Amino acid sequence: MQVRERYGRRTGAPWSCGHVVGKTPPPAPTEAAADGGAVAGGRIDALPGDVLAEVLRRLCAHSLARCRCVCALWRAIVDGRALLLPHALPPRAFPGFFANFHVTKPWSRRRRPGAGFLPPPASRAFAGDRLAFLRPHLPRGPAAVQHQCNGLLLCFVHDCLAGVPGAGFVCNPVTERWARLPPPPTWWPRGHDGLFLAFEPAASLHYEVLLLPVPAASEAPSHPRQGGGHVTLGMFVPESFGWKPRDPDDDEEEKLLPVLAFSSATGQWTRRLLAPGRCALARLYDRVLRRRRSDAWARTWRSSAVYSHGALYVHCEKRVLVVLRCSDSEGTYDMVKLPAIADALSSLPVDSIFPSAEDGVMLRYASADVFRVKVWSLHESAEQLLEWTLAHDVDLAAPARMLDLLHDAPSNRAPLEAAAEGPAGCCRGGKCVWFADEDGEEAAGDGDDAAAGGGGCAGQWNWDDASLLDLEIGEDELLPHVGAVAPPPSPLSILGCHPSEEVVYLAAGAFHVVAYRLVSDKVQYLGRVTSLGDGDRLEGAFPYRPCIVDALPHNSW
Amino acid sequence: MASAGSGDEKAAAAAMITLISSDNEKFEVTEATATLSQTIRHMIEDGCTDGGVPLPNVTSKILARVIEYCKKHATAAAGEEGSSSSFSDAAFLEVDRAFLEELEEFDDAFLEVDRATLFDLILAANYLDIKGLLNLTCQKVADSVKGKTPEQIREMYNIVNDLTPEEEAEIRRETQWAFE
Repeated sequence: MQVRERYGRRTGAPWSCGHVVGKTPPPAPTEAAADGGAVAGGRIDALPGDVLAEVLRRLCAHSLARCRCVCALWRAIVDGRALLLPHALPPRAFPGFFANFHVTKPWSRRRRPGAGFLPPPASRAFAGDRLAFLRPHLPRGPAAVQHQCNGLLLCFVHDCLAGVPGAGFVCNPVTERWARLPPPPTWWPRGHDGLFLAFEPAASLHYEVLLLPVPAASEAPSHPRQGGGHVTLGMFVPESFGWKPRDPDDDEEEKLLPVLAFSSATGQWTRRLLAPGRCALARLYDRVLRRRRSDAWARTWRSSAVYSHGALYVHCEKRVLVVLRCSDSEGTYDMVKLPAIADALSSLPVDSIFPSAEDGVMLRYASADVFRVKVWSLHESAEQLLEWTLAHDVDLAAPARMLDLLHDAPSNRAPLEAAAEGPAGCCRGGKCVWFADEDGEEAAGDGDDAAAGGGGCAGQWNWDDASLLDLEIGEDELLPHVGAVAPPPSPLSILGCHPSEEVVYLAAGAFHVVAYRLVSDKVQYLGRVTSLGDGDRLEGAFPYRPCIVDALPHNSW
Repeated sequence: MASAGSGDEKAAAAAMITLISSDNEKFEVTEATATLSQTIRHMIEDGCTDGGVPLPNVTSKILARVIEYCKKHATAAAGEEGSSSSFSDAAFLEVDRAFLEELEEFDDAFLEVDRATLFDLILAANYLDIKGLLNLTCQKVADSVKGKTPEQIREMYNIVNDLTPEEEAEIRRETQWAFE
């Protein structure tokens, strides 16, 4: 509602209720005609708005979206009654990952950062630039994806060290709408550490951006250039808004967690102090919010935060899970240690939190120790404390060895980045659809050319059903490899998890993608994502779940 | 409970209601048939049905079809209720399925009408507040729109496209996935 007032005429929330400002459906002409008996006379636009809405309500998302394009009245009905809202998150839709990477261009030795879209490798789909709509508006340089939540992306333009503050954007790649994120009252944190989106279309079309505290190094005098050390350039320091550094011995005082929150409903950043919940040990609080000199440049927060049922689960690099529950001005936080994992040097993480589809499980946590994949579930115990239980423990050494054999299989490769710099549209291998038409209405029309072009690899690959090569772990495969002289296969890292189903996507080498389904303990090989050169590196992948509605402005300048 | 219900039904079956169409044609229907319409049910509850119920929004042609639908569905509902007490489970299921199949066939045949009649039926169902009929007819229209392009829909229903090219481009951009 507020959006409408703030943005005025056409820019507001087209799908939120009551967005028919200046476009109220014409007073139903049928009222008058109805007296005359034979009313409609075969004209559908003679039906009253309520009745037409009844008709449109029965359509699936694809047909409904096309009906928006029929005439102004139909659009007003679809938008004004928020008919698309129940379809906000298309079921089972998982077109791919948004990924941040560094690629080395053949003509320059410098690594170039970038963000792109990663379709399922076996689709051989044209990766495309799914953020192309945003690029003309970016001040300079490539954008990096910081967080993804139910279809909205939080992106930042890489800020160079020249001191120019980076610009933040919230965008929806489906509707190609975006809004600029106003800078917070503090500095942007270095590396945009600790910024997360909270968006739940079923509850509200408004989103929030939360900025978690990034502690300053405690031994400030060791950095003479930074002066007193309370306000550090480029960091959101808790001290900068009233949080006092404390005596370590003083445990009496309540440990409040300061958070800055930007709400798209008010367009303002507000400050919130979260009180400790039932499960918030002071010891963990100190661990999270105190920075030793040795890790002064390490990130504090992982970008794989999960927002679910009003709670934000954030993965602190110090192996603590922080659960934030905040409403308008206050809220609580809980902290729980993450299960221990092995250390690994890898640009992709070897452990990650991800949402759970199972009842009673608040969150999952997966870790890969070379080939051994473990998955824990987070429960709330009877005393309302948070507890981890080990739910899955599987050794994927055999499939990993098979991956090694497949190393140079020429098929099923997808480029990490769209190779074509020129006009888009050339060399499309397959088609990466955002989500399938629920009724398969288009199947008849599109099926032919897809089958013709793909040569067996049908046009519409999905991360769900890409079972190009089932690698079921049989007893015989687990036998020790006889006469092993080949180099050991690359250890597994975690690419990400399916946004709505319990599937962990693992990456091996550079890099094969394997899906591990928790429900069936089944492992599937999805193909290989090829990079352009040796030095290319994938820095983070965000499983992307498309959302067809938002309250973002059409153009935010 | 069931026996009390059917007892009421028998009493109600005797009571007849007169419906008067917009062109002054009178239709005599049982109360059980008429009360499929929430609008008429409320009128009966308020006791203002003496001397007939005028329905100025419904022509005799459409009202005849609506009554045809209501009669069928009222007997089906009554039959279902009656059967539940007198048959064993298996037999009941058998009867139930037969009823449902028959009803489905009836509905399919009932919808074999031209577009103008269909829209009039929707309007009548909406006015008389007959859930089942409204559902049936709206679904029929929705099915006809399903999977069509905007151009096809406009052509099918003679709708004038009053969107400016810019607005249309914007809509297509916002919901590109539906046009891919």
